Amino acid sequence: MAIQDMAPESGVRGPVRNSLLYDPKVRGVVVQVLLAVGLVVFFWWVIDNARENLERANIASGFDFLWSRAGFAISQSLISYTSDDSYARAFVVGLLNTLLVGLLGVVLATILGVLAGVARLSRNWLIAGIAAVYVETFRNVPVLLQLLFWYKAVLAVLPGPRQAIALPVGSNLSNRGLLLPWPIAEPGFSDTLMALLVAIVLAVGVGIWARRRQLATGRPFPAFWTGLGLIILLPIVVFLVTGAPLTLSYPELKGFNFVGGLHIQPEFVALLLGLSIYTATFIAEIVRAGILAVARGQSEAAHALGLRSGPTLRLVIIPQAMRVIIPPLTNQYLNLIKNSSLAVAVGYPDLVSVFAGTVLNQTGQAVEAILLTMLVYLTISIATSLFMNWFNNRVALVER
Amino acid sequence: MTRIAISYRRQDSAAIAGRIFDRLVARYGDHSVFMDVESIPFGVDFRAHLEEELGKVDLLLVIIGNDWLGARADGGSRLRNPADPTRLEVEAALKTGVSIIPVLVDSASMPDATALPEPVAALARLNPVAIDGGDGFENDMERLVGAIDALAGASAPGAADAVVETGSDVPADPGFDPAEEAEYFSHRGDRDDGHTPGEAAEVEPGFAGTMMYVRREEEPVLPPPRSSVGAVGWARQNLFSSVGNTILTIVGIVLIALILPPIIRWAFIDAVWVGDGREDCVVPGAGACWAFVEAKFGQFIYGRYPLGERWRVDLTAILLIIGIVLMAVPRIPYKRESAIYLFAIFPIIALVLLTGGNFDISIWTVIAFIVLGCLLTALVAAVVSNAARSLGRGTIALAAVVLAIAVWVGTLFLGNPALNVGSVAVSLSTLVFIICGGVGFIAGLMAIAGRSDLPGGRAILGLWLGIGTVTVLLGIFAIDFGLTHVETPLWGGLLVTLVVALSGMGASMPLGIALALGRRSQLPVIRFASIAFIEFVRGVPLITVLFMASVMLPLFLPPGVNFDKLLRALIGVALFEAAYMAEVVRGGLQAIPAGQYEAARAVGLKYWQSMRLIILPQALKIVIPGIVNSFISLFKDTSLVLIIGIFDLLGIVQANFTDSNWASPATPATGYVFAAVIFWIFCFGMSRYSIYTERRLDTGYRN
Repeated sequence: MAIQDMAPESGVRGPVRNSLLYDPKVRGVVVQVLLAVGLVVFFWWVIDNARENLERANIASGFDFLWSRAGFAISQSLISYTSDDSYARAFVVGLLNTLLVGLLGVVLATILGVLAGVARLSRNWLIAGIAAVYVETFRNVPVLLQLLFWYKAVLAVLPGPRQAIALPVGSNLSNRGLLLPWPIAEPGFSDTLMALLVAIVLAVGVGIWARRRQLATGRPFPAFWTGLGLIILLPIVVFLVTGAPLTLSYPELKGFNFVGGLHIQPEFVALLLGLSIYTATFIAEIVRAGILAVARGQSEAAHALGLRSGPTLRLVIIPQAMRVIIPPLTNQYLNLIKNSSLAVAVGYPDLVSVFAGTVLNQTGQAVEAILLTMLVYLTISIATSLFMNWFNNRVALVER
Repeated sequence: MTRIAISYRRQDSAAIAGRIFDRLVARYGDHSVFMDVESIPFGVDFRAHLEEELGKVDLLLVIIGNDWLGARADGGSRLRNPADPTRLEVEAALKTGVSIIPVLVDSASMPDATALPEPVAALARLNPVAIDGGDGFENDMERLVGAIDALAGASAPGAADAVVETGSDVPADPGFDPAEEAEYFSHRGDRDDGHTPGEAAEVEPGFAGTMMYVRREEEPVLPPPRSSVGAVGWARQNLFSSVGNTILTIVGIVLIALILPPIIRWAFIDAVWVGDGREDCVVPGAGACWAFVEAKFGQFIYGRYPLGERWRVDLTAILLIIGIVLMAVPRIPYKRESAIYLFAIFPIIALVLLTGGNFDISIWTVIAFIVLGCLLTALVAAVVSNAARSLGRGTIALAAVVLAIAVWVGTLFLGNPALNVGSVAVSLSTLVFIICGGVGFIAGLMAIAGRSDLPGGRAILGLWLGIGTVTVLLGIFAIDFGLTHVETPLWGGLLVTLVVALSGMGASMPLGIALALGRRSQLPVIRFASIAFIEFVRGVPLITVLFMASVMLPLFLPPGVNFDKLLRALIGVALFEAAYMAEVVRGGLQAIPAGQYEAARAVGLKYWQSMRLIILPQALKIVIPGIVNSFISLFKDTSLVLIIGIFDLLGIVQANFTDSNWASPATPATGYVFAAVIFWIFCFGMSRYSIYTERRLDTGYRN
């Protein structure tokens, strides 16, 4: 055959096997070029369609709308905000609300989750059983359902402000939300804050010095308790010396509503409660797995070296369990922050509800609003991922 | 001086016999203990020889291990052989009246008299000494030595007529009860063989001294202390083992006492079980309003699906359950067929049943598919023949096809659909497209016709199989089965939840695998595209993806094209879940040792072959728990579709709160608890099944 004359070196395997078709490099390049072209064509097509559709709907694309007057009120804001402010400020308000609920949720969920995780490992049958029932119940029910349950089935049917349920230290709970006493600073309180700052700096310094001394001489120093004492005592002393410049504002019933104190809206309470209780079940399982992952031999070896159970836990078990716990724990924190977007279902003004909800509906700038919202979450998660990679590299076991 | 011979079976107990021998030598001197009877001189009757040898000793230790009988494959034993040396030794000892002590080793038990041939059957009646080869060896040897000494002492003054079993010689033991002892022996079965006790006396002299120290009956096992058994013991161990534990228990009891009674009162005791409206549920002190759930149950399951058509949903559910049972129960065979049913046939049936089928599919869609097939065929043929350097027709085909595709793409962007053949005016570009495509197709086919050495044949076959399948499917969907069309806005309740969840699972699995492979690909463009997609989707909340699907998708499509709302949500959920699935699968791929990849390449498998046959089966098995976890979170996430206005289970439950006939303070809680229970059953069930599968597939090693 003529072909064989053209490719004599191919031998018995036939000419086709030698063709470019079987060259992995060529194949790889072709596939990639096809994919790249496909993606470009796809995005071009999508953008072209979007442009055309927006033109028809008479919507000007771009981010100029951010500077125009928002014209709607937001029920909870950490910074001053009125309906005369711009959309951009509404965006910041929503973002701060998201961060607030995320931060508090992370703290609450961690406390509850660690408690439940440790309880599930308890040798006490009853405590382990309660923890297991809690985890298995709340883990297997959608978080949205839980949020709605707290909001509509629990908080909404609470009695009104006049019949509010009294809680300790002057706080109370009604269908208007949770009211807490709130400290109001008077002139001179800044000294106490300064003292606290100084105490923290001192505590850190003592910690560093104690560590250096122990490394050099081997003699331990109770740096933790010293630091704690400093941080607690110094501000209190300064506070008392400066004449206790702080008054507590208690919520009081005036007319049909409460005045004074800190008013926490039911939406916020429901969101915080739902997110924390739900996420804590996952944290509990992570903590449990982490502690179980530390080999028994480790605590036995620690005991053999003469460490008592306290130092064993602090110096041997927890550092090793942390290596296992931290990466999935961070994932759960991210999940909690992402799940806080469900605020839109209970009407808490978080980022999604303010920006991808109200602003989008008012302006019709769907693409910009959703892209900005996504970008915020994306930034948070990528920043966290980068931190996690750094952390993993730091704590990873170096084996041979 | 006691002279002791040791008889043992070499295969049975050589090692421990050696140890016993050494001990006895240390105790009695090496001229007193004989282990291996010296070889029999030629020409001597060995029976006589043995008897003579044994005549020189006072005592024969018969060491009995587990295989002392010398069991043979045919069921008999070597001891049954009259010439068996072990048998001969025992026989000779019995005959000459030498004392015998059976020594049980390796936890062996005394052979039954019926298992012994007649000449040595008497052995079974002798009281044995058990010797433990482990920790108890020292003690047991002490006992053996004691027994030997006692025997020697007893036999010296000619006490050969001491009878073991009669018990008449052991008055020293006040607790000795002859009846009990007789019972003990009868358990061993050797009182049934017709021998009288007197006979045994001839062969078992002088055990009386030893017998005093040997415990014959087992001490009854004492019950454990009352504090560690039963409910009390369990409670002490698990609830009150220490002060701290007790405090925890009390805290737990208080917690339960605070939480449980109100829940039980609310859900059961004070609950309203029957009623026709809110009046029944707003009575003071009323708990859950289950009557509401009862009245709205149909809606919670089917949504607003027409009453007369609900049998279609039921039928779909039954078909689904059949498929899942076939797949999920490991003992049922035909997994391959079941998989085809569940993943290929069932979705088609379900789609037709639920929507009613009879879709409006234009003939042009089918034609477009066939044209696409022709173009791709021509392209494959052209590329293959060009690559094989068979120039000529292949080049013509390639040029024609590329031109046709260029014209088609060009018209797409210039807003002139080339396949607009239905209209009267056939534009110039359409004409060019048809001509070029036709030329390319014919030239391409001619270029590879009769060339079986070219590799394009299978690709073209697969292509046409795919196109054929799609065409048949379109045909099925176009058939009028006489079912009323049910719009998706009418769907709701558990039906929608399951539709979203199951199609999400079905779509996210292959997409996720593809993305995971893409992320680990060596090709930078593919890898980068996969990473970008996965990280983007994982970085944003599902709700924004759903917003995007519901608000932005219509923007991205050409004007006039409109998607079903449910379908948009399905796409959003599937894409979102695919990113998570990809990370789960990637975990599995990374867990496979590099040796597996290398071995797959070494045996000549190509990329897809090695993935399909070697890597993915192992990787997916490892990540089954992760996959099921993904499915569980997907199932829970389906509830989010209510935010974009689709009435899934949670959505329809919530929508019914506003029904003025049922609005009461207890209604929301009741509805939510009902929905929660349904979700919980599904999720918990899945997680249990995952744990079960994980245990079943666990091959005992993890890499």
